[in-house]
Amino acid sequence: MAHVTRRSLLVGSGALLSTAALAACGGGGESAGPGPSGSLRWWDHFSALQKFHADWAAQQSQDLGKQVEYTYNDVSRSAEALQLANQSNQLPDVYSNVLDLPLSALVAEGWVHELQLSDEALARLPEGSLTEGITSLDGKVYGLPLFTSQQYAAAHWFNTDITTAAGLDPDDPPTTYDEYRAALEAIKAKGDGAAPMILALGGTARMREQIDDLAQVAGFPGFQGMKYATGEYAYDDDTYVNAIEFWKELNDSSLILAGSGGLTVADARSRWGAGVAGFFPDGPWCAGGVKNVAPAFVEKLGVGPILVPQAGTPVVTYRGAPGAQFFVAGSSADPEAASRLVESMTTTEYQAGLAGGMDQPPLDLSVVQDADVIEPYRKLAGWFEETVRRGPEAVVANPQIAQVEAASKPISPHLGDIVQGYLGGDITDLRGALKSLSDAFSADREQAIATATAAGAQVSLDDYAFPEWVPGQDWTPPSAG
Amino acid sequence: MARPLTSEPALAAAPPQGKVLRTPPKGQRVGTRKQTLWIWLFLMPTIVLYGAYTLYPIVASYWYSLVEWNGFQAEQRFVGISNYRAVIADPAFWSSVKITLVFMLLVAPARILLSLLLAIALNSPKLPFRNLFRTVYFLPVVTTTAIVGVVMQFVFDPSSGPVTSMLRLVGVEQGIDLLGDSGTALTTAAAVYVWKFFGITMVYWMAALQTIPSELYEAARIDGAGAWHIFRHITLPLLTPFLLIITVLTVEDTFHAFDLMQTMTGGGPFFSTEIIEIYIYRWAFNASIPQLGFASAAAVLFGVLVMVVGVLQAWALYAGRKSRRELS
Amino acid sequence: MTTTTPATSSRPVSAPPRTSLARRAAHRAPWWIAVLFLAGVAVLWVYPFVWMVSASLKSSMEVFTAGLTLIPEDFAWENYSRAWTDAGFGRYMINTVIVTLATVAIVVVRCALCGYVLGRYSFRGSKLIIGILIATLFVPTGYTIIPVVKLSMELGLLNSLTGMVLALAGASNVSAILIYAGYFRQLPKELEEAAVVDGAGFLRVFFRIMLPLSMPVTATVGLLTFLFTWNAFFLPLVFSFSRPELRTLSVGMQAFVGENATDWSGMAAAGVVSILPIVALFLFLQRFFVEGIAGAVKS
Repeated sequence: MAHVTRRSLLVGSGALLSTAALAACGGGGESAGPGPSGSLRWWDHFSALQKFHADWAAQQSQDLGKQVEYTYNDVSRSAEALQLANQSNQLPDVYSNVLDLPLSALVAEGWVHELQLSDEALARLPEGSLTEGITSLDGKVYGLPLFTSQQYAAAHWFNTDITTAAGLDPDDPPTTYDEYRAALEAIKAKGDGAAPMILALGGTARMREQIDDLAQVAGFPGFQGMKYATGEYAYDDDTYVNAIEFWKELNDSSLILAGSGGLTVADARSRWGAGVAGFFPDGPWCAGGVKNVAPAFVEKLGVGPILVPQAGTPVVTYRGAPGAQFFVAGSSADPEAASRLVESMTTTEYQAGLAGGMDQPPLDLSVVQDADVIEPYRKLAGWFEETVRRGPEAVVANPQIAQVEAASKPISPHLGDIVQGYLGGDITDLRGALKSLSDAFSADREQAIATATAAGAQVSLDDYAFPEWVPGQDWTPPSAG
Repeated sequence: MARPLTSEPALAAAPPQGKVLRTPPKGQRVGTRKQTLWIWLFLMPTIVLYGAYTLYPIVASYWYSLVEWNGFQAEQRFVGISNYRAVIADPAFWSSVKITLVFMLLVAPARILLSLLLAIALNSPKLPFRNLFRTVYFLPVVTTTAIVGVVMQFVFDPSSGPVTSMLRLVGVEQGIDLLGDSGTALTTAAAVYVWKFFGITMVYWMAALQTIPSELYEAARIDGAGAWHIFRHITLPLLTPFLLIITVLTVEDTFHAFDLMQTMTGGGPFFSTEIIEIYIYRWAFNASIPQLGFASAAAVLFGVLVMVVGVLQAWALYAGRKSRRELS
Repeated sequence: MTTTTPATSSRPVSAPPRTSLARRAAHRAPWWIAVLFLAGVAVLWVYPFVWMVSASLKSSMEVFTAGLTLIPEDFAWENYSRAWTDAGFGRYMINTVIVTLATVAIVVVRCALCGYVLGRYSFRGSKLIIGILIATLFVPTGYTIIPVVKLSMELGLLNSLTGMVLALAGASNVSAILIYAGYFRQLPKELEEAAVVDGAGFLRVFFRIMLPLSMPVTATVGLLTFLFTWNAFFLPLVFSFSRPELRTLSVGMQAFVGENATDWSGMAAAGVVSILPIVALFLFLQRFFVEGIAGAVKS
């Protein structure tokens, strides 16, 4: 055959060969599953802890005698990344929990491996850190909690340059709706070009959290739209309507930066850090986040607590037991080393570094008081300790509720979407929209209970009702007696 | 090494140069077993790749649309048509269908008609700098849509983007949030999409215009016809069949605005730019618990919609061809 | 030739040419008005690119505050090094080049082979194949992403450049096949006849006669595939979810913005870096791009 032909063929097969070569160079051991060539892969989504975790991974590489590869994934991507990694049998050995599935489902599906924590490590964990149904199952520990559940997402951070210029005292931040509005008006009146506040309306998941918090502190006797005493969904409660109406009013009086409608949380925080607005409602992690994007701005941070509608309202919010933050993959090639990596996170050294990262506060809130953190963060941690109580959780009272959770489906539009839509003028009947949201949740829960019951779970609607719950106090799970 | 494989019963005369034959030359019908082998060998790469990455996924989508599956768990529970029921009952799905169609109606006419005007101008040798203009107007076509989407976010930024600065310059103090306001987001996205792909339609039209023989114009001018007259009675009728093809291509194109929307608005604010592709993506990859069965059902329905529009247009195309044939 | 652009005027300008200079000037005037108008719109057209280049050279603070000035106070070239190294765009560029070249090679080879046999031979099943190809011509891409992910994962190719290339190269490309088929079909039969008489076989006819003749089509298909692949977003996005180091430029850009919301100048530099190669290619090979796209209408 003529050599031209052969050459053409060669070109063709060369293309195929180069593809095959890609598999070798581009892939780099990807198909070998977790921990190729004896290394440990560690993924998480804690943006404020990136530097600390990279350093920690380097240090652990030496301690474990095994290369630890740390990768940060943006939170909006990490669930998708884990899902695809799992499907392609590439789960990292250690990963942070962004999965919306109950622990029992994760265990059943082989997503997680039992943590082999030493007794010293267990002893280092503060009391009440491990909860059956959340971090443990049948007495085996699967997930390590890192952060305290005593926190809320609706703290009010401010730029002290701007607030001081407007004549506000950084040590006496607003605590009520009226004071807050007055503070915003003062900034607006000063007219320096900075907006009074910025709100991450595009970050609908965060909006949801913040409104849940604001409704709770305004007196909603439950969490995430569900009343503790009866288990009913009541997003259309006055507390929710009022909290959203408060933001709507701020928005309509041009106190919120124009164009907040599509801002994601990271976007809003970076802009705020660039000095475009006075106040920014965000969680404790705001401090760590700012430190990452605009280190010079950390000095100018000030913080106020969650707002109550009227002066004199007792400040109290509720959260469930600490969640599991880190898992070891069920498919890990070296679960023992992975467990040791996770265990290293219980050490005082790590906990101090964790606090210093100023992400969510660590399990033991008292660590914050002596850690290398800025004063406002310390102050906020103090407020958390004083005002956040433990609320009841159905899955803790009856672990089989996990099967209901596994069978429930995402609801859309969710609370955060409704907030965005109402402030942007797309929703006019707020209470109606909230009522539909409650109905959608109730219907989905019924569907999920039916599915779970059909699969043999002993569950009912009553599992969601806690008539014995006393407002203002910590809830104690029945088994713990 | 090769043997003569074909015995050629020289049948039809060689096809007229430069014109596409509707039927393949009959000559090569026969062929030996060896030839058949070669034919299938040549087809193999396409059969394998196209089969695996285009055909199989289409078929598989139908299967997934019948199961309930979240991608996290291995279990795929067969649920019959209940995903379809759920999709059809979801107002957000219909809203995304509406948005997709509105987007099409905003984009397609603008692209088709405005680019025709431009093509006519650029087609005239009397226009100075016509090549430069063609390059400039075509430029956005070659740029990466996903990157354009991101850049446009900043161009339209309500606090410091250039558009806002320009508005401030002319006295609009409170900048308009063109992408962040649900009232204007879709129109703005449509405008960007027109800008991005305008050049393609323009090139289509220029190709169409070049098929009109210049003698026709000359003859008309000798008869004393005015420019408008020539346009109305020569250019336009001859362009009509092309109008149909160009419409088909452009309309199909507007259904694939995922790259731009996802990077520019992500479907927001408050779902106001959520075209169907983003709706599907949201349920398949972006939900707290992915609903792959549900998303597949929506995808199948979307495929049906595109197909219906395609068939309607193919029918129009066919009718158009017929009329063209009668014309010539 | 007096087709006026309606943009300039709807008045006919059909007077026969006279030698008088004034008349000539009057005759040319509408064209210069058209030029002015088109130039105005053209400025608007390229403005986003100009803005991007300008922003890529400003300091982060300046881009936030400077408003409309396009000339930076100081040229901040470090934006480019930040985008290239820190943000990983160097890596993304390599990925994109590898993926694009491999995809173009596969698509050209497979479409030429397939188009050749479909265009020149009538065999059992050929009608069926053409029918299936045309039926899927309008299937929306991206709509089938879930099975593609599942398949790639079962083949162990998810989260690899190989998987990305195969998925991109396997994505329909029906029009490329049809362009090849149409082209091969209209080549005169004498070409083969002469070769066959000389004793050339199937392969030789294809590689020595047909393929070289189809260079214009190959250029078109190659360039259009290049354009498509370089700019592809959805498949690379899905194929690099869990491995950021496999991102292509378009995916990297979105990730960059997600992670560095206020680094506008770095973002702009990254955008310039990503778009520059394809724009340069376009400027050099403009004719092929334009003809390739025009081909869709002509056939």
